[in-house]
Amino acid sequence: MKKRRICAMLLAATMVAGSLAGCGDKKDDTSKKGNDGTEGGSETSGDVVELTFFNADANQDDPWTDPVAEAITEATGVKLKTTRPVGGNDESEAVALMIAEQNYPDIIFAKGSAGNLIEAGAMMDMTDLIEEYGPNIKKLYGDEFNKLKQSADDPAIYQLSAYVVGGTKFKDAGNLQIQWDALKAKDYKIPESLEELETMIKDYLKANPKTDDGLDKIGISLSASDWHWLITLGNPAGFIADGAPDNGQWIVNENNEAIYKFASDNEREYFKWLCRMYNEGILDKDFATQTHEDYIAKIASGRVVTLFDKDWDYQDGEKVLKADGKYGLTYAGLPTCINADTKCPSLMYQGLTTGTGVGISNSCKDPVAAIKFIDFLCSDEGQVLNKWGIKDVNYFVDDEGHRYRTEEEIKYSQEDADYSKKTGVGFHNYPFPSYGDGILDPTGSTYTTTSKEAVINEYNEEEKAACEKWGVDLLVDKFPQPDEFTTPDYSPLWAYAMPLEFTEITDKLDEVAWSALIKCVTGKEADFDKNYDKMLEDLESTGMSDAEKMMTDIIAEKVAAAKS
Amino acid sequence: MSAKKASKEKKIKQKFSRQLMWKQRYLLLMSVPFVVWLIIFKYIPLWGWTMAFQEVKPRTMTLPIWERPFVGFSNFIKAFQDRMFTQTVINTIGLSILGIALGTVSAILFALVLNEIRFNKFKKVSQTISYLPHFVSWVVIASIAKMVLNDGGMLDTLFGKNLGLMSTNSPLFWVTVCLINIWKEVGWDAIVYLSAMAGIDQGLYEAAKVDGANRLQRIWHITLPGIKPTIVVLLIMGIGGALNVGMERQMLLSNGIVQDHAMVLSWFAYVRGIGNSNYGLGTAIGMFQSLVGVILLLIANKVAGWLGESKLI
Repeated sequence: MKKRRICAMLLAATMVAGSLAGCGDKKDDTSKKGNDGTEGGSETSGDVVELTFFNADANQDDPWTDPVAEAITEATGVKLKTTRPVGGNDESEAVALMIAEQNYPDIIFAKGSAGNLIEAGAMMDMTDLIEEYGPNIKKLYGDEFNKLKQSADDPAIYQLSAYVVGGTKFKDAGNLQIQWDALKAKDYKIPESLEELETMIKDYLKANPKTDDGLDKIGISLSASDWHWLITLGNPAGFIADGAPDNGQWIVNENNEAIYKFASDNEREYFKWLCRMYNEGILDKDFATQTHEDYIAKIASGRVVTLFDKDWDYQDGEKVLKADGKYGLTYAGLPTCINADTKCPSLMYQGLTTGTGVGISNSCKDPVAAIKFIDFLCSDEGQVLNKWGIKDVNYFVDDEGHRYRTEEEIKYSQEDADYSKKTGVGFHNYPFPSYGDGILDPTGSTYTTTSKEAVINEYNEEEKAACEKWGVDLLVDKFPQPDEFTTPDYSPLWAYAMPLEFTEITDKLDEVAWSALIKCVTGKEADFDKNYDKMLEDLESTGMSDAEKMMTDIIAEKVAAAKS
Repeated sequence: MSAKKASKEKKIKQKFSRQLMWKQRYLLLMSVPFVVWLIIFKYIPLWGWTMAFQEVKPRTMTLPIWERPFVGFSNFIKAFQDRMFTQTVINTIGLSILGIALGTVSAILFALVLNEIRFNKFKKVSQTISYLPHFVSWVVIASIAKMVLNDGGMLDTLFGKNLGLMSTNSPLFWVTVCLINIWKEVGWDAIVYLSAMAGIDQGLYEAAKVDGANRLQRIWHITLPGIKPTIVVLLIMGIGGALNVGMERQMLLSNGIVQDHAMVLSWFAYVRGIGNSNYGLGTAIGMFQSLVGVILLLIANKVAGWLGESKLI
């Protein structure tokens, strides 16, 4: 007994001592870190400041040795040392560690985890810095500069935008994608409703039940066994059923009130249609369990007639078809909606996407150098350097002062997968601020290398034939045009850094919706309404109305902040 | 021998005293590094459990421990009220019981078969092949398993119909997971039983042979009783770790349909804790898991005692 007591006391004593020691250590740590930081700064040669940069979206290392990087360093005296999340694209763990260790890089692009950094007080309010050192940043954002403010209560600018400002979309995958062969079979008539689409798929399947390799064709396939369900099952519902632009899981009405999108009656219709397709065997029976790799493999084999996806998501599969020259099996993006009255929102300019972008951390060793660096990237010179490369090497200027690239350079850029890494062109551009496609700089050339002509040049035979048949220059000319929409006062909701109280509810809502929607679609048609009502009930008990109210408040705050 | 044993027992009964410490000073000295290691790596981190009673989110995380707001048991209440919580606990327990039962039986059977093989080279080769999957990461195992078991996978094609092994939102998914786990671990788990079998006195077998016992009878009456203590020890340890069902296995094998039956406590703590940056809540779930684990361990230990086997603790 006595022995135990002694043991217990010893244990308690060590624990207390340990914790005290632990806390004491922490202080030492931070001061040490400060020293380390400054040492690191002075270590770099000459006047060049080396800033650390966390890039949540980087998928390869950036050694900062290419010609463009050197030119940027020459102009700004800043060298970037980029770190990226290890193990795929999930930045949340890396950011959680940063917060736990209190060890932040100088410049941070944290994507979806930015909210945590802001709450942890890690991000610097850049308003004054931009006012003093950032004329080009202000110029780049123009009218939309105020949208960068956090909220009406906290009008600070913690991060810029990783997305382009303004511009024109020369290409888009639309609401859904169908193989060119199926479209040709109906003489290029774009279906105007889901019924027309259904007949198109069914007729095509009847005429061509198998691929050349003898595999069964699949009417529609989706990728829904991981987060891709948001892209192929969730998002298209909003575009097709409600004609709503991409606001994540939300639909916002004209009074800026948000509803969780699966509660919309139109979407119920859309999922009912999907359920019927599933039961009729048009929708891939394995869609819910197949891995994304299976899905891509199916696309690559040319079996899938229709997709509800976006080009960046399915292009890996399409590349294989293109390499084989099977252009008829590649996909045409279509603006088809649930009925003829609904407008495809693909080309709508939703305003500047804010809430995710680069920011400067509070522990930045030289905030002025950092902001000047970003400001240079926003300047005309920086934009051209990043997107076109070095003058007389990557691009040339003609007699009228317009920039152009040689055929070889274009070919080089398209065919060498390491082009941008080797030359630095387009390598350091994202996630720093940039102008959209089609915007002209003072010399009359576009800021980006993507222009209408360039896009038309890249069209393959099928796409060219379609343009000719439709009598248009660009495929997207068949879509509802940007001027048919008004840009909302708020920026797209999906990119916002949301408060934790809110994401705690919405994560659960998505969790409920994911499995419930799959259940609705894969269930019997007769049970559909019952299943859908059950889902709405579950969503309600998980806090859907609270979340909707919070979302509406957040939108109101953002609108107020942008107007102030 | 018996004198030694008696003195040993006497020593245990000896009262804690200074002389005794002096007498055993070298032993004590030798144990110091391990005690220090234990305290530093196993007990001091327990201090972190205070997080379970505090609000620890990014905005409060960087504060010193005593300045974080204490919230009492609200993290626990929040966890218990979560819509997924009950289902998660059921899944965790169901999966472990099934896993322990199927895993133990299959490992013993496999060890018995290997043990009975007289052709030594074949025995060695098949043993090596069987435990190789143990060293392959779950990421690889899961993609292989999905190729075979998913809808439209190899098994479905073989049987010509949809078996729904990985797309039925029911405890069938647990069985699928356990089968995959057995395939991965059976060879590895059998090693311990094999070594226990190797320790059985060969004289017993010879005596049984002389008495006319056939192979099955020898297995039943000699091999199995011979490895019974090993089985019990491994079962106790298994039950103690019953709630520590690996998260990555579940994450990698699940999909939208079976999510309700794939969620386990460790994953739940990850999703609600790290996923939502609510570290206090995550700690509370983890703490619940540990406490239940300790209780299960004590129960299993007691049961082992009733069964007449040596207890572990």
